[in-house]
Amino acid sequence: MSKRQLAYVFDLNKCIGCHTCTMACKTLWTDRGGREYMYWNNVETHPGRGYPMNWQQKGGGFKNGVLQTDGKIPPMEAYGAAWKYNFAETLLEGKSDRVVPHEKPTYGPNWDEDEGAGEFPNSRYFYLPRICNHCSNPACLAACPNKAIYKREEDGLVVIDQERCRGYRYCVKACPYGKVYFNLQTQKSEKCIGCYPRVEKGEAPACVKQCTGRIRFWGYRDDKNGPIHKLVDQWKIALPLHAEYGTQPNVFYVPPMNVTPPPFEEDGRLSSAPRIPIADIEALFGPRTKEALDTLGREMQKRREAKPSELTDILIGFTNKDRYGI
Amino acid sequence: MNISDDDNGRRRFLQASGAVLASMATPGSVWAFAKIQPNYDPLKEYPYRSWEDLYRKEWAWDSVGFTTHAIGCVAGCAWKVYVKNGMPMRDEQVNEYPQLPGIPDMNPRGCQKGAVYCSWSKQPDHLKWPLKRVGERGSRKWRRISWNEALTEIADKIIDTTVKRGPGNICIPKRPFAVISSTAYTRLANLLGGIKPDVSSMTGDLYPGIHTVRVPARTLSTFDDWFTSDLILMWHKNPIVTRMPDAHFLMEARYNGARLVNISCDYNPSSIHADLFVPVKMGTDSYLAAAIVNQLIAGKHYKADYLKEQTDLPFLVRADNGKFLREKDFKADGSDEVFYVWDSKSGKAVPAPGSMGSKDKTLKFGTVDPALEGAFEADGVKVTTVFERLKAAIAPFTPEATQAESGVHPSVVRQLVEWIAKSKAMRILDGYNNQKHMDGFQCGRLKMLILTLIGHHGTTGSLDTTYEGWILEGNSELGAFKGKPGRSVSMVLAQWVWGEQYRRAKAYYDDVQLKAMVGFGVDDMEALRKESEAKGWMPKWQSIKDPVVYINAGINLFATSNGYSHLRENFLKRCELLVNVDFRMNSGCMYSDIVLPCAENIEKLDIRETSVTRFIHTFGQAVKPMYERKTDWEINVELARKIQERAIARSVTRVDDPEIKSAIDFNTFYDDFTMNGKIVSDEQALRFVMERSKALGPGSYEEAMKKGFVGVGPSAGKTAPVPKDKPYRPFTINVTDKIPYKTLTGRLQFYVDHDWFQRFDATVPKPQVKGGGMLGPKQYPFKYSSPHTRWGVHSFARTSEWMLRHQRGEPDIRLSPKAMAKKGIKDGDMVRIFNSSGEFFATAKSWPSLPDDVLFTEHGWEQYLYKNMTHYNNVNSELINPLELVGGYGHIKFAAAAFNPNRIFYETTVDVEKA
Repeated sequence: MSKRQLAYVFDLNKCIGCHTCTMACKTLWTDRGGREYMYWNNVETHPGRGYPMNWQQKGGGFKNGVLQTDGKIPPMEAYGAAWKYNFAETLLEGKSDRVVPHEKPTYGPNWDEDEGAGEFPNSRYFYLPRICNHCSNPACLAACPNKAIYKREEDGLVVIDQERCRGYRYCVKACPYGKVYFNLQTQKSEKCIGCYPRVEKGEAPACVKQCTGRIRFWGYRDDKNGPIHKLVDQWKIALPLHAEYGTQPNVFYVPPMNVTPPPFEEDGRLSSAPRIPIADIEALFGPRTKEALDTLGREMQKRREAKPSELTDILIGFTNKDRYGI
Repeated sequence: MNISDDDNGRRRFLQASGAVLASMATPGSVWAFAKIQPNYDPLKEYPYRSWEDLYRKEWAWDSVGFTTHAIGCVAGCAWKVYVKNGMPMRDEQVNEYPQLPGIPDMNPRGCQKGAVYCSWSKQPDHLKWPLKRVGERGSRKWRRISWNEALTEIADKIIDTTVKRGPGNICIPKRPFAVISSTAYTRLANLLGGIKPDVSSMTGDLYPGIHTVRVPARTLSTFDDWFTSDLILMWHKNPIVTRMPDAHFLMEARYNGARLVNISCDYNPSSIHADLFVPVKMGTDSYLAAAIVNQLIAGKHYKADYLKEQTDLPFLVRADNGKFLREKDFKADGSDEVFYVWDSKSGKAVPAPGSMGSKDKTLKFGTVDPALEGAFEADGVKVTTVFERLKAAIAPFTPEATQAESGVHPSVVRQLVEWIAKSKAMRILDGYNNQKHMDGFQCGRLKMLILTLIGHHGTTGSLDTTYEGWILEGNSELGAFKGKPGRSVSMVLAQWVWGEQYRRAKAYYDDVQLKAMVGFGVDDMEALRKESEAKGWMPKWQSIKDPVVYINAGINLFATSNGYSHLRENFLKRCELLVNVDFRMNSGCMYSDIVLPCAENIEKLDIRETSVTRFIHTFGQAVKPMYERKTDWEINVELARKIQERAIARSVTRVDDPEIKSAIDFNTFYDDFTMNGKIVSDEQALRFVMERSKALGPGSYEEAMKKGFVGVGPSAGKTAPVPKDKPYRPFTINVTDKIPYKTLTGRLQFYVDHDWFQRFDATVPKPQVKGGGMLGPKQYPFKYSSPHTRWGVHSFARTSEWMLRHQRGEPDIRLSPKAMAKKGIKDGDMVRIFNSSGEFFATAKSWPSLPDDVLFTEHGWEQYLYKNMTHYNNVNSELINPLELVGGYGHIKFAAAAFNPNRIFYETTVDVEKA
């Protein structure tokens, strides 16, 4: 284990699906050099196929502590290309009658935006932002035959040595989250680096600091006064995504409240059923989901009755330093 | 980081991707390699870390400047721009706003559009130098010309047109999104006696109904005030999509105990975080609002003391003719702007202070106790109160009775009313969509009534429309020129005439249906428009002038209006020189005779003023204008210089302009524009604005340039001071200091006894469209909804490749899965959307969150992204609500950006088929 571990909490009840995190990451790291198609940070609508397409079925991770070798490398179509447009030809030279992508788009990082499931007015969807989980037991690391992937001992960030990587892509297969990418230009695998150049200067990762929905909490897992420890270990309302993959993620999620807004009966009256079946959310965050949501509901009710709640104050995260810091 | 370099890499990627998969089939040799791996545990240690510099070197820059990306957006956000080798590389939020006690701070403001600005600005659709068309209009064939050539041609045409056709045939619309950039065009238009169209009416962004109740209609709390609410109704406002930097205040208010209610015709992204979703049928909101009012009154959930003082509800109305009881009813020389209430104590009618005609400029009644209810006789005249009339009018609109129209089950209305009645601090976030319906005028008044009945307006709550703007005296001074007022018009009326929208509406709408549902048809609208102009209520310039020279500053011409192709064709017939000034080639620019490139956001020296925060934001010129771009201020100064130069060379001096009692002084044009050289540079103009505005003042320029933003002082607020330690909330001083409202009655006014309001049965707020629902022809089965998108601010950022890659890459429309199945359409199919007014093509996307009878597209798509150069607004057809043509009635009169006909186009119905 690394000496310390940086960790994240993403509050899905605050996520507005604006993708500012994605663009913050994109413009900092992946708009060049063969990384264009990669979204180290992406936001997907759930239910939905996600990015890369159907990543939840791609395999990889661990079963009973054993690294799975059945993982797939998502084909290029599952990511979608960074298609380009004929602006100059159409607008400045009058040679084309339409500005179009250079190839017909068939999939992209946000293809299923807002779709979800169900039927109006009882449809359902929420946003799921995803980055590398900087796992404590990374499948990518375990799979690398060259030991070119490591956890930085000072902060636990998982990085791929761009000099020693041989481009075998076992890591791409092994990551059950689809968060390792292959750079065809450099012939190396690449992934989210937790913005370590920023972290080393005391600056939060771009996706955290630029999150305009203020859903992201970040800091050392062992910082007892920090929001991560409080939300994950003390209040137990932040849960890892697909813990059953066995990689021990260090990104935790406050699950989306599933009962509101209430759906409707056939005749239009309010129904007492939940909007999102709890099983849908448990499929992502496991059996402790309901307990977490109950805790959250209880604390929110306190505030409606004008009683204090430490938990909702943490989630409000009044200032930057309340939400992140090291 | 030159994105054009990517081409090679991408092609290699595509070629290689097949091979990559194949190579993974035989991993045996790789495992052999693994046997010779070094001996360390990468979970704990790693011996080769020097490579890490690779990424460290990518996070590097030479300098940092400030900018904001509020072009078309009301948010206002402070951004840093990182510059490397003279190139703007990356945007990142400043993130240093101070916190108000007990309120979450505003860090970080911004959105994904701002985050990719530097990248977007390098795309080839961004302009580099002046262009002159060499083919037909719209053929997109250009010749690069010099600024001198461009400005000379424009200056000569301005002079020729004014001399030969008379003043007022030059039209200069502009977007109010950066202070000196925008005001430069106002100053130009004023000096030229030019037409200044109301851009807000053009885009359908007015709230004329609310204007009849309060002035200004368009105002709001700073968004941090949302946190203080315990009940927030998002009423056709989708803040999670359209107010990204501030949406967190909603979620945080919810964590703080507030309930969020989303009222919408679709289950939109703001619905998902709500405590209650109210699925109202499109265009029937007034029925829902009336049912709420009905229940608040029936349950006596209103605050009588507040209503007596703050509203006209106790004002007396004559039983015989439905007019307010006025002083002139009793005295021959009495005022018709002094009104009466019934004093319960003395048992007689007494004048109410605070009205426009009253000498007492207060809302205080003193010892008088105005009766809210009852029927009385004042000097032989039978009267009753506004509240009585309102009660009678609203009584039929029970939750049960309105369900057929609104589609909302009574139990949902009652749940909502229960929360409203219990609320201590309610807020209504009123979006732009409602008043794009015929139903919206009355619905706006009803929404105001809901908040007012419970006594929250100006106390603990607010009805937040869009931003109104802070008071910046320096900016008003910069635009104004003594004796040269220019010509204001309603852009809806201007395009009704110039763009022949009248003819289009007449061809599309079914007059029989219209008359049955609203009592007037399209011909009536046209007749009423002419009557309004003849009476001097609405300006008449569109009827007697033409846009011969049209200098369009930053507006996406035609896209922001209706009937794209129809409007363009008719409008261009009247226009001899079309100049577009923009930083990119938007769809409207394609039809230009001359395109002038203005500075990008990151190249501007300017400020952005919006009142959704207490901060003024800085365009800090992180880099100087690149290529041959110039700032808008500089373009105007240079044009003014050229006009004067050409006028002197051609011996043109003064042209009289008797219609507006003014004149155009061509031979001193530059001297006048620049105040004899005082405001030539951007910095001079900007300092002029900032230093002469009380809410900013000396030193504010320096602070803005140093921090990226600067806070406003208390005097910035139009209807209340901006407090130091609390969010700003409008209209509080009317309650605390009993200051009259700027309405005819001096109160929040719910009764309008104007002849036309009587004629159209609209004296009190109540639904105007009989039966609810759409006015578009019934043969088209889909209601057509085209609200704002998360992927652009109107068309701003819409062509950003990174934004497009997060959509389907080309314009789409959405339908419910059932509607798609019925029409034999599959997700991804190209479809044709049509009605008798026009058509467009787009790909279909399935959206289960839509009712089966709504066809949805997000607005702001550029015309050139559509197959066959069609456009989503090709199918729209608009209407005029005669109530919005009214004038000559206290505060109800033409006012740019406040009261004139709003663009009503959400009544359009369409059909769709697989293309």
